[in-house]
Amino acid sequence: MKGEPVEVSEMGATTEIDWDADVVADPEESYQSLVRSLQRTEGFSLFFVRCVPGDQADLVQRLQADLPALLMQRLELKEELVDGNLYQRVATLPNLQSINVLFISGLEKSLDPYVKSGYGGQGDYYKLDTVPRVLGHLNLQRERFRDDFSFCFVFFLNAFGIKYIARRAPDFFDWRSGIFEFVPDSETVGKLTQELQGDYDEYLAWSHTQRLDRIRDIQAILEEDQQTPDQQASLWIEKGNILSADRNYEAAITSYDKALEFKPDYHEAWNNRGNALSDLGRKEEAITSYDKALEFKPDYHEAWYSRGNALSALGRKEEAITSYDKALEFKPDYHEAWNNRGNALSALGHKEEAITSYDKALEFKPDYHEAWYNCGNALSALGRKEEAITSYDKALEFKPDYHEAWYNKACFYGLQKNVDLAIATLQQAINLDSEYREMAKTDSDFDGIRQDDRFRSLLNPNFAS
Amino acid sequence: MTASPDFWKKLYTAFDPFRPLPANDPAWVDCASVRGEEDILAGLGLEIARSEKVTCQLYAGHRGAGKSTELLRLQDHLQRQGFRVVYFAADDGDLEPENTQYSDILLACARQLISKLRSQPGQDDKFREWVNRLLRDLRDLGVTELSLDELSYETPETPLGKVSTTIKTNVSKQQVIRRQVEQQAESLIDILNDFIGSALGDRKPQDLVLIVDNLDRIIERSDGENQPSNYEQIFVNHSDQLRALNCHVIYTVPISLAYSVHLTAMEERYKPVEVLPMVMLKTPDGEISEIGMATLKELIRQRFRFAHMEGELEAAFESIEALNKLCEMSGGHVRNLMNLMKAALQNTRELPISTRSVQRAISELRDTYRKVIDGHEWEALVRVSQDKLITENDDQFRSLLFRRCILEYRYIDGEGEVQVWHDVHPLVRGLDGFKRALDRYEGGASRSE
Repeated sequence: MKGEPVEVSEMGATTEIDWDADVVADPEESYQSLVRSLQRTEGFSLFFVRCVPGDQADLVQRLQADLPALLMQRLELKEELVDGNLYQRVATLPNLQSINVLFISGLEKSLDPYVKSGYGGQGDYYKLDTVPRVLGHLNLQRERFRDDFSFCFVFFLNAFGIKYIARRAPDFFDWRSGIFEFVPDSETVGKLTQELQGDYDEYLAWSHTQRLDRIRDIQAILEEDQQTPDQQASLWIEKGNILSADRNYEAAITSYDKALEFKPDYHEAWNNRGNALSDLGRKEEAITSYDKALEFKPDYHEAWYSRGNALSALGRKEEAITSYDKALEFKPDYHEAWNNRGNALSALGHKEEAITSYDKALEFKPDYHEAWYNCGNALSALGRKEEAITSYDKALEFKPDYHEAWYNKACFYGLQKNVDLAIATLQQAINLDSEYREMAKTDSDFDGIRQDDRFRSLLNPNFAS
Repeated sequence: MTASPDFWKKLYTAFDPFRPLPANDPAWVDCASVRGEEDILAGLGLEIARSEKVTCQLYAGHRGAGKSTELLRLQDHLQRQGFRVVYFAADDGDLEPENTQYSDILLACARQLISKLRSQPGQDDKFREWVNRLLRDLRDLGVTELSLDELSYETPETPLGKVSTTIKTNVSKQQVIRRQVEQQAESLIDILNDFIGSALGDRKPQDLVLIVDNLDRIIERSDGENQPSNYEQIFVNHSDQLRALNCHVIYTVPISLAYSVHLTAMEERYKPVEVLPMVMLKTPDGEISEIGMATLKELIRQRFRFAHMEGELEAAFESIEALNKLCEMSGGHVRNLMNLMKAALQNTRELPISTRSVQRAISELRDTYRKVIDGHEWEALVRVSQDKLITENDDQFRSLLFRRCILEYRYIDGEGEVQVWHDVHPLVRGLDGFKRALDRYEGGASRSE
């Protein structure tokens, strides 16, 4: 019987009512109640209206049309109230004396900086260790609002904003004359969810504040009813990705876990969770997470690749190679996989095979400087010094400040006892990173030229030749 | 019944949740008998009237239970008995909203006393000197924002006001200024007490009562579990200073503080906290209290009268059941009763108020409880609904009490003793989380048998 109006029968006897069950008003009923409230209010009163930002203008327009005698005005807070003083903002409005209804939106913006972006879940949202300044003020200002402003305040808030005020400005909230909820329909929620999908590289480019802003938007939609599990999962993964971009991996993992609660076979969530675990150095757990991703999507090449990386980091090189091979089976031009496969082979001493693997990487991405450099190292290990130099030069062609390549080249010249070139090249490396000066002091590759005065003065600027 | 727009405006206004009734308002209803004979005049009032020395008392109660209304009554009562009463409700002009400290309260009390008592010439100078000394010390500490020149003030309380304002606006120097104010608090209290003495002339300090309302409005803060909250820091750690004023003082505090073990350990300092409980609508056994229900209906009837609506209250409702449930679902909390009535009226185009309108009002108010309860709290709520008691000094219970998810009731038992008991707010019983936790509890209970 939930949500059903209770019918009074012909006989006048009421059917048994369950007073602990909720009746749900339809939006039109809520709207009519709001109209009546504004109509019947004399002087000050507080109303809270929950609706999505896109619907606010329409609602104001309709109210104005239905209540033409009332002067309605909007106050849109575009950014955080730094001093937290809403009273002041209202007190300085023009035509304060003639306003009947003031709609205020955007108060959430003054709450955000206090929200620890919901790290770890809902409980953290309303933490006791801080009070948003604006709420601290409102809680203490309510008498002044009542005594100084004789009109209706209508606060437009999202679900999260109302919750926050109810918890952290309870005295202000307690003075409300009404709360009206216009819950967005599932189509709107779906559309809003869609708009919040973003690109990880984009998140990486964002500022911390931008990321927090987006997390707030996501959280606001998550609070809405009418969510399908798929939508909720996609919002949680998005939140996780932003937190990952913000290097808050622990919180990101919690978000991915939430996504997986709603959609246990969500392979991207398993994969991204693996990445976050891996970034925390928890490689074994990362591998388990990748395995889950691959269970649900066996041809998921990124997961095979990342799994390879995690195995490799644990020193399990053979398994890593198998994993890279799987990635390459599903994406033959996966140049990163070719490169890392080369590294794993190289670590096992299979230099020739490693070089073949690097060559494949370079076939698909000719300006792949890491692969040129890695290839140089493998060639060098095989004693193919001239080819190694050519390879380092290619790396430096695409990345002139590639100091590792400069240094390895310098080592090669040092072994050749080619003092001029060794010094010139080492100088380049030191210019890019002074650490190389210390490294060269003990590197046996330079033993052949160590007594050279120019070399000594390069390593020790105080040495007078 | 077709009513005029004017009738509706009057009726709607009568249920405004934000106007404490002034003393002697006809709409005031005596609820003492259903609040365990809690009567502010007999409690706080008698203590003041009988005491030889000045007293310092704390007054607690659920938000919206009617504390301000009761304090205004007490003010009137004491004034009739010949006391001089200074009542003020602290607001954000007095208190730093994010981080209130006891020194804010002290400065606010000083300002209010100075402005309301009006002094003899010459008395002001001492406050001016105090502020000047403070400014000098602050300048030595590198705080130059407060300048002496600005202090060519009109009224003697202005310089103290400037100090409060600077504490609030100068967030970066807040700590330094506060520390300095606190260091010099003792001398301020001395000056203030001299001032009180001279302002009262022939009368004794025991003839002056300072009522500080709204201190329960400070938002509770705590840096972690088992850490003292900001309330405890103020009222426990600084009780010496707060009790040092040479007049009777009443401070309002949130109900959660009444259950702080830190505070109850201080009973030799403060009198036991006076608590304004809910109107008791049911006995602990769950039996409806006719007198409690009648009291709430009287509260509603008085407000209908404000709109000049006479006749039977029951006639304004489609069914008596709806009226009864509306009262019951308030839990005996006066403001919740107003909230429910207001919502029911919003949902009503013409009287009588339909049953569905009342149901909607109840659902709407229930939803606000849904918003303030976290998933891990259901079990604690179920426990209270079974035991009818809370565990003292448990942060979780105190927090739920503060949020009115748990309500406090009192009654006088057969031996004439006050019995205190607690229950979950009746609206909480309808929330899914509670129902599920209750099922789990009952399932667990039957298994263990």
